Amino acid sequence: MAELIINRDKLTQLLHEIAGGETEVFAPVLKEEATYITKISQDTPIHYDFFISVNSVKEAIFPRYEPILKYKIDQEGVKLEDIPPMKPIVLFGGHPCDAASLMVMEKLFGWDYNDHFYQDRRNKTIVITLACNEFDKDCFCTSLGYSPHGEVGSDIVLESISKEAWKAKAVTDRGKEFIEKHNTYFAASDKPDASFKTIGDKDIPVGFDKDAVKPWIKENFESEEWQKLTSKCWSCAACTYVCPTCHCFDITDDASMWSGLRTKNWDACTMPIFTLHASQHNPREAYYQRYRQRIAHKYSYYVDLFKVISCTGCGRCSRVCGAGMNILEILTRISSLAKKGGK
Amino acid sequence: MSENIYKPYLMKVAEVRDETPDIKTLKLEFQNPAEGETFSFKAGQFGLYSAFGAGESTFCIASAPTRKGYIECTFRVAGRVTSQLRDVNPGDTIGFRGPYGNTFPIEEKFFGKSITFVAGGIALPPVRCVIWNVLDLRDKFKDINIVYGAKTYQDLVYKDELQQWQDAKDINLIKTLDPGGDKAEYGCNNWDGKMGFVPTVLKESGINGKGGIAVLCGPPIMIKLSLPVLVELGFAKEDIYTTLENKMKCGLGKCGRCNVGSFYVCKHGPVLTAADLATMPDEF
Repeated sequence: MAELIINRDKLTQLLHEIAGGETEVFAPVLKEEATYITKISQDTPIHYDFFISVNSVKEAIFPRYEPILKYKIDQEGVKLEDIPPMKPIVLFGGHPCDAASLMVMEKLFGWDYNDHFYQDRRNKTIVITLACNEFDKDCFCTSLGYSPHGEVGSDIVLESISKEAWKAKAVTDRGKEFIEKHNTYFAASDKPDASFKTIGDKDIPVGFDKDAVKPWIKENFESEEWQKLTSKCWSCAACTYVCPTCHCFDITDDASMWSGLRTKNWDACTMPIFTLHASQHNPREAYYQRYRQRIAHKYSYYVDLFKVISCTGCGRCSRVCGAGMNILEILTRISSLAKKGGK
Repeated sequence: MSENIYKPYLMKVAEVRDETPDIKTLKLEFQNPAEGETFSFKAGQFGLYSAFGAGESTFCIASAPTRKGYIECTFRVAGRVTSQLRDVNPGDTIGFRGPYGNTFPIEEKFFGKSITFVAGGIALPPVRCVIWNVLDLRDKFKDINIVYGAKTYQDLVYKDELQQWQDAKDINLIKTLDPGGDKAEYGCNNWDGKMGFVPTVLKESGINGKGGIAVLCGPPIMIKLSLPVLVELGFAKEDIYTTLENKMKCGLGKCGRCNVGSFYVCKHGPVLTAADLATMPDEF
């Protein structure tokens, strides 16, 4: 396929047109000076001048509150009702770290029992990713083998050629079909802006050895280092909410006397109630045990189960942490301890 | 339309039994008999029971797979869901998802051997499923020992069945109450069992564990103290089975809270051996 170009005006028109139909469109929107990727309608202003959204793309496919069962209760008993099939989605505005997270998450939701709420929605989603033009000190995708221009999980990657336009690269057949279907919005070529600056893989330093983390965690579960690494955490769980790969959820009923919804809701391993037994026994009672779980789940247990680290280096957890916890610093420390053979 | 893995069976409450002031047993039948006919489970498995309007809770299936047409659950009233389940009457509808998790290898490993059951308090239900499974196939096994203890007389569950096991000639039942548990205020009248904690009573039981299978279930502290006693009695670590309990929401390996290291209690468990337990991080 010839190289195709799309500019901001055309992309806005295209996304608005799709949002007017049966497809749900998620795109970056400015709210109180911060950028969130959220569901838009035909006239929602789309925000393009941002570095990285506060939230991750996960909520397009794994909503924070999602009905999984409907029921009615009457004199004759309980009647279950089906949840309507998922609508197709166009998910625009994530970076390569976001798109890669979808590949990580689908392994869990497809593991043994197929969670069709996630999987059907994922299969009906066209992922249009913005390759990165900026990074900050919390970014570490390259430490995990990803790239600011990476294609994992995307259907289409948009690479900036100027402030106003992108070169569109179809990564999958579905991405190609999407571009063909909407070809009137794309132009054959445009003049690249020679003064426009972007970034490459080398700009984001590799901070730690990702393969050294899991063996250290396995060997040092009881290490006192965990308490030092996690001492600032106050269990607010903000890190888990902005994380593109944190997938833990709760199931609760939301009901009146005669009808109800059973819903899946985001939950967080950093909260004490997460593992609290009815007997009041709690296997992860202390802060450090819970934060250890968060790191060990991503870098050790998930790897055991699915052969992939459940983190893509987006750095959101570090940016949002009010206590100043920084996951890159923690992983760098673990990796350097592993190198030195330390506990 | 894809199958919804979170959709429960609708179950009709057939019987409600009070075990203790805060523990109940429900006998449940499938509202749709066709679902009941295709349903099967094995000893050790669990499910999520739902009170519509309150939510779901995880309990084992306390009845034996050898008894068809119904399932039973026994639970302590602790929160919102169990409070609503406490108040159901025969004829009411509740939900059930399952069976989930792995099973006790009864045919593969237990046949032809002596079996010793050790349980404390509310942990008898998961063991009771195995006990009846084994008793229904009694001639496949050698000696059957059951060691069961509770804090007080009032906290003993399945009192009728304890009597049946005590009366049976081919079962060695050792029942015990924690010190002070036999007071009249607990409804106790002429206690004919032992007095003392389960690990102590187990130690003095004279049970020979050599070549036998042990099934151990109880609060974490009881498990930790009983394991070395079982080894002392001669049981091999590979032949001591237990079931782990952790808080669960999905039962399907997704919700992310029941893991002990890489071991997901809902999928790799809940049944495991003392040898397995020794390889896991101490976080349960």
